[in-house]
Amino acid sequence: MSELSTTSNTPTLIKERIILFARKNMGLVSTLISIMAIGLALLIGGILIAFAGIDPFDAITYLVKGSFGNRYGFGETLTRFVPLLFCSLSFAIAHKSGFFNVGAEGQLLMGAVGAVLVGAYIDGLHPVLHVLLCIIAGVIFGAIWAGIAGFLKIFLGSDELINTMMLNYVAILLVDYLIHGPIKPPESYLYVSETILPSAKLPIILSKSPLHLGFIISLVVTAVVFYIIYRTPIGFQMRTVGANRRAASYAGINIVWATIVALITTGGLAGMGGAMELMGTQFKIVNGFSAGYGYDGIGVAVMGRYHPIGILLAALLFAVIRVGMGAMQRGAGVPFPLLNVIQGLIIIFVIASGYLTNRLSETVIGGRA
Amino acid sequence: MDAAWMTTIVTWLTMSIRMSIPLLFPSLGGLISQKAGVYNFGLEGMMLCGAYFGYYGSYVTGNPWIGLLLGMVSGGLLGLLLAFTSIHLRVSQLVTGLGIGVFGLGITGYLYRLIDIGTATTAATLFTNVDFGRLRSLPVVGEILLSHSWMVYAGFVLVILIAWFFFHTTPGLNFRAVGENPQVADTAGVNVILNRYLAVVVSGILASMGGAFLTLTQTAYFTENISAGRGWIAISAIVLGKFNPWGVLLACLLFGAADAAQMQIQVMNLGIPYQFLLMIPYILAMLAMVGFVGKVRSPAAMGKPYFKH
Repeated sequence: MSELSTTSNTPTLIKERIILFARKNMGLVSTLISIMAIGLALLIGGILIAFAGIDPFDAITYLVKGSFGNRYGFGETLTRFVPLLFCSLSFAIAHKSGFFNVGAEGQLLMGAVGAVLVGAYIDGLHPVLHVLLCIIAGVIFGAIWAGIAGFLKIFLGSDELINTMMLNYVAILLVDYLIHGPIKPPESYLYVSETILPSAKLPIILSKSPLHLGFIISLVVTAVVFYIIYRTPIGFQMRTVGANRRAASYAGINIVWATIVALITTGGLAGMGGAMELMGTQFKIVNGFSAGYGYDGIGVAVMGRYHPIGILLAALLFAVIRVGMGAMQRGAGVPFPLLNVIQGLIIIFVIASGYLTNRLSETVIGGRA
Repeated sequence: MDAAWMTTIVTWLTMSIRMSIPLLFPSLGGLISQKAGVYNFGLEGMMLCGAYFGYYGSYVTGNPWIGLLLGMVSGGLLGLLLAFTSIHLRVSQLVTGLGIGVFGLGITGYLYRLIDIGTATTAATLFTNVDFGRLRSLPVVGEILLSHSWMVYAGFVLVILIAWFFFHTTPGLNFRAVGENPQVADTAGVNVILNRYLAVVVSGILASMGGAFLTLTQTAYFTENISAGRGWIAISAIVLGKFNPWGVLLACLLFGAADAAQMQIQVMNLGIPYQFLLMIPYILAMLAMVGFVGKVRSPAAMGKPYFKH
């Protein structure tokens, strides 16, 4: 930056002016770059649709109509938004605390298990109390599942990335076992869990749509989480540990404690997402309950650049794509895995575009982080 | 020991070797990449592409070699993408790898669903097992060691080649220097960028061969998410193998043995829920990362982008 200010009395070149403008408006520039990255990913998605012999514009009509063209679709989009938001918060908080949690998928599933145990097997509670207990159970189960990887990291120095990923596969198998026996209704021929009791269900907040109270809760939780991260001592400690472990240690921060808090938060958030999905939308656990929300959450956090507003917008976009993709499959016959293609491309393009913003702000970021 | 037990053990050992191969290829790929200083967390996505395009090429042409070639090209291209983002753009290798994983899952699932299932058989032509002639009829050894396709033996030969390259050749020494101390390597006249590019592309090709092994020697069919996390278990195998090709081979044989054992136990029908048996490879991969085999030293510059001064 310094060499630019020294040249300010000589006639500035247009290129330098653009760079200067960009540096002063990094938020705007990185948003524009993100939008271009998303546009590129969608363009490739469109080409793939055309490759399948389907008219891309026809398909896009279904996407738009399905996701926010009517009251029901709009409600559904905001419903999909909820688990996506929780999973991306989970990844973002872990990232800020220097911890790679790619296990939101498994933590979300375990959270749903916790919520189904309380929601289906404990009877005679007041709805408010019952809902609250279900959410707490979801948080605890999610936190415990993340805690396994955390324990291995803190006390045995084991890499959390592989462990959280492995725990996803273990959780899917564990849930599959549970719905084949222990939590299956005895009379059912299908492999599903017990359905939660009416008192544990979240109320609908938009009539004639599936939109439930979890939407409001997710927004409140987002605000609380970012308040904790940016405005409280423990949040500061978590961020310091995430930014520079050694410096945090010299500053006298209790790294183990900060990491434990980060873990409980990150696993608890994903678990809460699972509880919300269960209590607001699905009411019982079936095979494929999560459908990749955990991995989508990573994409949302990356695209939102770990910033609260960015994450909210990115989660909304991913929800639109997810619901729209379902409508595209039903209406135009576009295979659903295109969702993952576009999300994978968005992750790659957005992270690659970080090169431009890094160059502009002259920060050097890289490596595994 | 009665004959039934004998058969079980022979089958188990045969399966152990066979199931270690889809891990060995991506593990060796990941090892090469990490030795040169770049994390390859896209192994899973590259494996899936290798599995799908290998299957597709063989299904369309009836020739598994064309399938394998197609699969290797797809893995190489994904490797090139990862190389470009991590070496030239110097952005997060982890997130790009995860993105490649999500993309690989999507593109293979998407293209697979476009194949018209209604027409005829969708089976791919498989590689046949190597014909060892009369040696094959040797008791026990013939079954365990000589009943595989060429890819199994290629995997073992690859271990020897990579070990020889790393520890007995000058380019291999230069290669490792790039991952240990790129500044010094650069000063000594080693092309850091070129070495890293080659490493990541080769690692993508090897990972895709691991995927192609599944569809071209085992199943003859593609199923969505067929690699089932092997691309991640491979990373654990690299750590367990202490970043040494021979160690990686042993680690893959161990994982293969565990995989084969859980399959055998499923068949025995001992009343253990199959889900718990299927968990074994994943739990083993976690235990391997704990490092109960002692402290592991990874290449010093691993994951760090290189800036030329």
